[in-house]
Order: sequence, then C-alpha cells, then structure tokens
Amino acid sequence: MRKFIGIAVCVLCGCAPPPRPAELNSASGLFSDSVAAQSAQRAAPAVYALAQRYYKLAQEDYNARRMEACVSHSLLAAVKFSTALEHSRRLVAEERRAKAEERLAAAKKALAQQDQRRREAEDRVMRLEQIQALRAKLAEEQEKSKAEKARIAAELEKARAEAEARLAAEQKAAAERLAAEQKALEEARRDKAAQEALAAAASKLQAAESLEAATFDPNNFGIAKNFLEQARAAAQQKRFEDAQALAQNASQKADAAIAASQEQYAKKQEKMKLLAERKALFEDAYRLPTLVRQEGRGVVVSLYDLFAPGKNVVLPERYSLLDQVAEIAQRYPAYPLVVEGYTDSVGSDAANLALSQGRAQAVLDYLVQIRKLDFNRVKASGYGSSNPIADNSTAEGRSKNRRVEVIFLFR
Amino acid sequence: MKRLALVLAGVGLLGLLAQAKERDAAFYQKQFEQWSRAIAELKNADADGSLAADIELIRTWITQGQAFLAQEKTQAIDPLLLRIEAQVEYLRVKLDRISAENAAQEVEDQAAAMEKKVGETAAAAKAAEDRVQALESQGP
Repeated sequence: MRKFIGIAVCVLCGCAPPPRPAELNSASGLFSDSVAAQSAQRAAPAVYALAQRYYKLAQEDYNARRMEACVSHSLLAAVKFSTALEHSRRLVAEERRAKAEERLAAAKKALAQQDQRRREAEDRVMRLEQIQALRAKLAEEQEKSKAEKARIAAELEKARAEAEARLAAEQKAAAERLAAEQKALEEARRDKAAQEALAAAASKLQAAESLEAATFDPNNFGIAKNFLEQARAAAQQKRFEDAQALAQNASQKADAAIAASQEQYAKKQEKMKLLAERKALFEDAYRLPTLVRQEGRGVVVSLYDLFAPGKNVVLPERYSLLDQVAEIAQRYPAYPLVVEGYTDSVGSDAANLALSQGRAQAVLDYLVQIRKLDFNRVKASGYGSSNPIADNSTAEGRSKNRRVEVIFLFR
Repeated sequence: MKRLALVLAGVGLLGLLAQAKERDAAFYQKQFEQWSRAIAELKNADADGSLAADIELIRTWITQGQAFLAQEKTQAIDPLLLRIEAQVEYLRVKLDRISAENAAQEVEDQAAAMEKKVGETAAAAKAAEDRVQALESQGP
C-alpha cells in the first residue's frame, strides 16, 4: 500500500521514482515476515542488526537514487538476514537435538527400566518354566518310578509265584521221587528178600541136586523145584512176598530132599570112589608086563614063569615083576592081597598042591620080606591044578595054567 | 543503543572504504585467494551438494572481482568482497544449521528407534509378566 502511495506521490509530483530493484524487494519480503524476523533477531541479534542496517542503507540508497549501492546493500541485507535466520534455524535444530537427546536419554532410561523389567520377568518366566519343567520331569520321574516299582513288584510277584510253583513242583517231584525211591527201596528190599530166599532155595535145590535128590528123594526134590519155579515167576511178577514164601517152601522141601539124599549120596559117592580106585588099580596093574584081569572079587594079576620047573624059589630075573606088583600094592594099601598058586595037571594032585602052596608062599615071602608089605595084609594059598584057565592037554594050555595069581581083593 | 551500533558500523564501513582506496592489487589478489580457499572448504563440507548454486555464485563474484581488478576498478571490488564475506558466512552458518538439523534428525531417529525399542521391550516385558502370571496361576 505504501508502495502505491509513494509511486502515486511521485507521479503527482512529476518526479517519478525509478523502479525498486528486485534485490530490495526481496530484502523487503524477508523483513516483512515478522515471525522469521523475530526468530532471526532472537537467534543472532548482531547479525540481524547488521542486516537491518544494510536494509536501511539500501532504502536510503534507493531514495537517493543510488541504485547500484541499493542493490549491493539489499543483497547484503538479505544475506545477513538469511544468516541470522540460519542461526535461528540452527538453534531450533539444536533445541530439537537437545530435546531429542533428552528423549533419547529418557528412552534409554526407559529402555533400561523396561529391559530390566523384561529381564526380571523373563528370568522369572525362565525360573518358573524351569520349575515347571522340573516339576514335570519330577512328575514324569515319579510316574516312571511308580511304573518301575509296579513293574518290579509284578516281576517279583511273578518270580515269587514261579519260585513257589517251582519249589512246589520240586517238592512234589522230590516227594514223588522219595516215595518212588522208598517204594523202590521197599520193592528192592522185598525183591532182595525174595531174591535171597530164591537164592537160598536155589542153593539148597542145587545142593539137593548135587546130592542127586532127584534120584534119592524125587518127591521132595520135585516139589521143591516146582516151588522154586513158582517163586521165580512170582518174583518176576513182583509178587515178592509170594515169591519169598514159595522160595521158603522150596527151601524146606529142598532141605528135606537133602536130608533124605545125603546118606544115600554119601554111599554112592563112596561107592563111586571105590569104583574109581578099583579102576585106577586095574589100570595100573594092567600096565604090568603080564596078564591082568578083573573079576568080581578083585583085580587078578597072573604071574608066569616065576619058578624053575618043579621048584618053588622065585627066579631072580623075575624079581622085577614082583617089585612092580609090590609097588602097585604099596600104592593101593587098602586092598588085601591074596597070592594063589596053580599048576598044570601033570603030576599028582598032592604034589601039585604042595608045589602050588610053596610057590604062593615064596611070592608072599618076597612081597613081605623083600618088599616090606604088611604081613597081615597078604595071604597065600595053593590050589594045585584046580581052576585051570586053559586046556591042560596042550603045552600052551598047561603053561597058562602054571601060574601064581596075586589078587587085589575088593573091599 | 541501536543507533550507536549503527553509527559505529557506519564508521567502520566508511573506514573500510577509505582503506580500500589505499589497498593495492596484491591485497585484493590475496583476498580472492583467501575466499577461493574458503569456497573450496565449503564445497568439501557440502556433502550433498545443496550449496552448489550458492558456492557457484561466490565463485562468480570472485571472478567478477578479479575482472574489476584487472580493469583497475578497485572501487567496485570492495562491495563485492563484503558480499562474498557475507555469503561465505551465510553458507558456513547454513552448513552449521544443516549439520545441526542432521544431528538433531539423527538423534531424533535414535530417540524414535529407542522409543520403539522401549515399546517393544515393554511389550516383551508385559508378555513375560503375563506369562509369569499364567505360570503362577497354574499353582505350585
């Protein structure tokens, strides 16, 4: 408005002012912003004052038509104003910064507090979670422990039941085994008794059999044998008492058979012995270099050519034969000897009888005196030409009849 | 008081102008070099290039001043030097302002980030406290 008024005044006065420089207008625009101007003045009063001074100089220069100086002072005024304004803005920025730093400090403090709060809460959470985890773990462990205890208890119970069952089974088995053993023992005892009775009966039966009871007492022996067979059958059938009783019966019958057979058996044995002895005697005599025969009365050894014809002295060359006969006699001392003399039929009977007696006596004397046989054991007899053993009509027959017979008499 | 300051400033200015008449070419050349170094420093400090136009204006004035010097129009150089000095000071203050604003912005960003972090931490703390309460409510 003032510009228009000034221009109008100048036009009316006939002295139109030159146009205002843009620099001056620009400076005027700056100073017309009162808010900015106040800020600039407050922030940098000296600079602002300088700006005002330049602005005033610029106005004076314009009024004085010093346009160049006006532009220069306008520029300086604008620059100084802007400088002051920059100071103001810098202060504003510094205030912003100070406030921001306060905010930052407060935020840091708050952050520290919140962080502390968060840490405490998180620590607490962590502790609580740890506690909970521990509790959970403890509960789990307790559950596990409980389950383990239950499992162990079940296993123990199972083991106990198994052990009891096993023990009961073992006890039962042991009892059964014991009973079986006892039964076996009892059976063995009964068996043993039966077997002993059987053995005794068998032994006795064997004894009876050896005594030939089958022959001498066939009745008792047969019954005993029958009893023994029955006893054995009963033993096989494990009827031990029956077996024992039957065996005892067999023993009794065997005893009876033994008793009945012993004497007869002894007699038979004696007879057998005698017969064996007689047989041995005959066999020994039979080895003599002369004729030997066995008769009912005994073994007869016929001796020939012991004497010269008509003589009754034993020829020395025949001593050896007599010595052999004497040795046999000494070997069988229980047999009495009978020496019998015989002649042929040549000559008288009386002479033959005497000759035969003399010759029998000569042999006896040799056996008693030379060979030292017991005198009481030996008898001598002469029988002349009697009892010929061959035909006296021939020389061979007569030589056979001229003989001395030594007879080993049977008892 | 203001009047006194104005009077003193005017006297000072007149003194400078009087001295300028007596100044020789070497002095001006030295002044130009000094302000050239100053604008070089400003250019280095102007990282984002926001002062490029203003710096170029100063360079133009220096060139103009050197032209005046070559034409021996020394009376035209002194106003230029005053303008250059004022402009350099302005740019320095402006740089300081920009720096201060940047610093303020940086701190504000830090504060905002910190406040955000405070909020997050508070939320985390609250969540943890809620968790504590929840855990405690489950009983021993």
